[in-house]
Amino acid sequence: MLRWFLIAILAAGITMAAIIAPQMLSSSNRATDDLKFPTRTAENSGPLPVATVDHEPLHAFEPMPQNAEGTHVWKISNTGKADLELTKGPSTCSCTIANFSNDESKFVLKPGDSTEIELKWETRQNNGEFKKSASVLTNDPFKPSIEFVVQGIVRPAVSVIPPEQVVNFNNVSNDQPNSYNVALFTSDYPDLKVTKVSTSKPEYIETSVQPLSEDERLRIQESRDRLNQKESFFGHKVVVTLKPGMPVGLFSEEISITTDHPNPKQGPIKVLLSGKMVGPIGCFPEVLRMSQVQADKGTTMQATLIVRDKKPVKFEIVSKPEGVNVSIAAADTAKAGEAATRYRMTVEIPAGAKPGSIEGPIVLKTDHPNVAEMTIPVQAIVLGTK
Amino acid sequence: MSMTRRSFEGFCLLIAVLALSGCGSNSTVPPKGGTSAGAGSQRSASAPGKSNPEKAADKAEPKEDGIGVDDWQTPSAVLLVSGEQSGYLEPCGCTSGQLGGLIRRHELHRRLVQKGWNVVGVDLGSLIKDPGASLGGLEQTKIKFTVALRALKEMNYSAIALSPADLKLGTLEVLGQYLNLGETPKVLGANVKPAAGFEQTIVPSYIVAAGEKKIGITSVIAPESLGEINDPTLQDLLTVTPPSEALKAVAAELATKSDWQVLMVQGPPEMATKLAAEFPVFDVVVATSVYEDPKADADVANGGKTLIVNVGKKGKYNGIVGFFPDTNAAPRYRKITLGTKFDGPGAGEPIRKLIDEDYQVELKAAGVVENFPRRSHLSAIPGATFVGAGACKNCHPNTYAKWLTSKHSHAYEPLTIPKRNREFDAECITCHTTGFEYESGWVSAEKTPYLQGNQCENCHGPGSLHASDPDNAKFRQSMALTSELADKNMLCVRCHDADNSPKFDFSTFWPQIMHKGMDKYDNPKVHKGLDAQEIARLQKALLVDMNPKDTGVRKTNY
Repeated sequence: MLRWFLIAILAAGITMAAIIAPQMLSSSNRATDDLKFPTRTAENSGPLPVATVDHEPLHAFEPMPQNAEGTHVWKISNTGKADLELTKGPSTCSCTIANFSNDESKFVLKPGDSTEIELKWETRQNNGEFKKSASVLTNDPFKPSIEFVVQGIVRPAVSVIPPEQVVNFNNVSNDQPNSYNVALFTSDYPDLKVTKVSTSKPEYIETSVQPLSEDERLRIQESRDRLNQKESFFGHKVVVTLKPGMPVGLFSEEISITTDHPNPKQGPIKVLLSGKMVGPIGCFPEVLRMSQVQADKGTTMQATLIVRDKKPVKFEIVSKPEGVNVSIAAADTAKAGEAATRYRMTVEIPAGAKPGSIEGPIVLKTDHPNVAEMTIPVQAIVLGTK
Repeated sequence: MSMTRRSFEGFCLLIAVLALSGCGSNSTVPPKGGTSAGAGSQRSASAPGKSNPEKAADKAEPKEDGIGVDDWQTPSAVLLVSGEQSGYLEPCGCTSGQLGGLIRRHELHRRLVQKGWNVVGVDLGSLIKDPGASLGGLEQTKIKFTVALRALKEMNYSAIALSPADLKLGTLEVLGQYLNLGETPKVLGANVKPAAGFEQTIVPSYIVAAGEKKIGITSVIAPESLGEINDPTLQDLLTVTPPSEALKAVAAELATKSDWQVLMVQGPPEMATKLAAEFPVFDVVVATSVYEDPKADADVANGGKTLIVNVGKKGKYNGIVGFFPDTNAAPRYRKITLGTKFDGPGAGEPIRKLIDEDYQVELKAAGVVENFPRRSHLSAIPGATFVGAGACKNCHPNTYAKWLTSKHSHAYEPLTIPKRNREFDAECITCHTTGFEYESGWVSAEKTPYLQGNQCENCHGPGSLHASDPDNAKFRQSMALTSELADKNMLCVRCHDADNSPKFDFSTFWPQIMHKGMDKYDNPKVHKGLDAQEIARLQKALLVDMNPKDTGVRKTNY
């Protein structure tokens, strides 16, 4: 009888707990996952250590040059009543934290004691936004990990726009010149001059150094404002022009810009120029890839034929890979101002296709005066029925 | 109301009783409101970690399944958030201990599904980086984009945001690939209208069923970001309107037709914050990241109603958002670090196959390495070509010997490991061979075997003229390079970058390969110069030197 009574009490308790728990939960801030509470164990029963950091663990530093080193110090105190154990935690850099002789060591702070956590970081060759962090693990059940973060801007002596130092010309027609401006500027050398510009293809790539226009200066200033860089800057632009007649196909060229900036670490600035010189008609996607086609289901793929000079074109399918059906729909009407006329090509691998690989080109004959024939590669893998 | 430490201890006891009794409650639903989301979600009083970031990260995060949401009551749906992968199909960099990768993401997705949850995948876009800046070049980036889309399809993603980074591949190429995506994932752009013929490639929003509930997803793109794309066809094919204007109707529609609303913002983070405030209907706003490593917590807006989520860059982290049965309850967020806890036999197998096999086959078929556009070497004298370290050995035997014992000479070998073959991947080839990207540089193991590994000419420039006429001061000067100049011109960091060599420091690494003044040139033969026949012989000898195991003898003579 007593046993049944105890079971009933226990059941009632559990039921009440199930009812009360959600209410207690809802009385706190439940939008956060902060509520993965540590359970009461021998470790955190009784007096507890409390880790207190003297200021915000995120330190935003002023813009720094490349190849420089920065440090920031926080003071961490044990304001609890038990020993506070500190251990190195995850780090996203080779940051160092003072007071730890090695990674495995545990540093113990007695109640009332404090120590310094020093974060060191090296800007090295980084360019632009920079963030590093290191964390300290503690036995404070309410703060098992403290993440110390430093972030800010690292800038080279001479900054470049585009910052990636890459100009992607994309698909450009080789019957006209194509230009792009590369801006160079510095905030610590008003007399900055561009002393030399060399290119990897001088016969087709022209460069000229010009002053920045007002509009360009404004745009640079806006981008600097976003990064909280308020000081004046001085600079130029290098106008890069791809001359007409550059061979059709992919290109990856380079220009090297040398300035007279006195910083000994400032080497020549290399800017990559990449893209594809194209003729009057193109196909997109350029290669028709269809992998893992189920033989019993088949597949269709659509591609767009684009005529850049908007001449009406008749296409004739001269050849195609075996087992592939190809059709070309009537042209879309090019809207006023549009740069091209488009045609839709549908490529079908019908259901019941033979398993194996399909490789070969679709060859189209056209009546365009400058494109007698065009070739579109097809790559497909047809899988047999399981 | 905040909970005191004493009441908290009491609560812990209660939870312990509940846990002991095995009594779970599905009625525990977090109400909306609050000031932060997921704060402290990384908490785990784990053992002290080592300095290896990933190992330490593993220790600092809950063990179990690497997801660590055991305290979530059964959610009605879970949103898997990814974005700004920037071309990192695999863990960033080729050093160990790096985070991220689609294989691990697939495993995360599998584990979420295995819990019986309704998982809805959304990706913020930026699957690739600017093809101009990609080491693999335009052709490889196109294939990579296809592979990334296939991977999202394999993981049953529901939506991808249209992004300027992806459009840099070329508007027509991107739309051409979207045309062939099938039913899902949908490409979203509420403020983008595609031209005739491409209407179905980009849609304003998508409502996906998650069990008995529905999630409405939309996305906007910052109009000014498209202005930075150098593509004349973009304006013809895409019409862009102000995001706020476009969202009015879309937000209203999603609010009536779905239980939870998600907005992805392809623009500066402050644009996401602004739109979250302007359209409080959204429960989740996915924003771009300033930094690679995102905060552990989501930000909140609208009094805690809206989570503003960012998952960093390079695909190192994902986020999951739990939606609970009470649609008035606030969603909950957790950042997931894609580390080794998602590795293991069979983990992410479909994606592993996609990347290790299909992708490599397609790179080979497309000839991205062999057909890579090559350019003249800027610091070389016109006419100079790459001849390989074998030709250097003739006059610089001790320097050659030093190089042969360095890892630089063996740089090609990791690319040939069976099942991880990367010989046709231009992104790998560029740092594991000599002269790639330049005329007369690396083409293939068949055509230019004497240029495998990281050889002398990668720093000193093509050496044919100097090798044929060693006493020519002009030729010699063109090859000269001091350590100061190498550092200044950032020759090493081109490969030893933050991803692939995070601890690289010139002053520490340079002494390991320093080779100044190791040879004497008093033998008359070193002033004679090499003819083409002699160079060809030395190129063959180089292969024997580089693979002494094949002969059992190290045949270098000096």
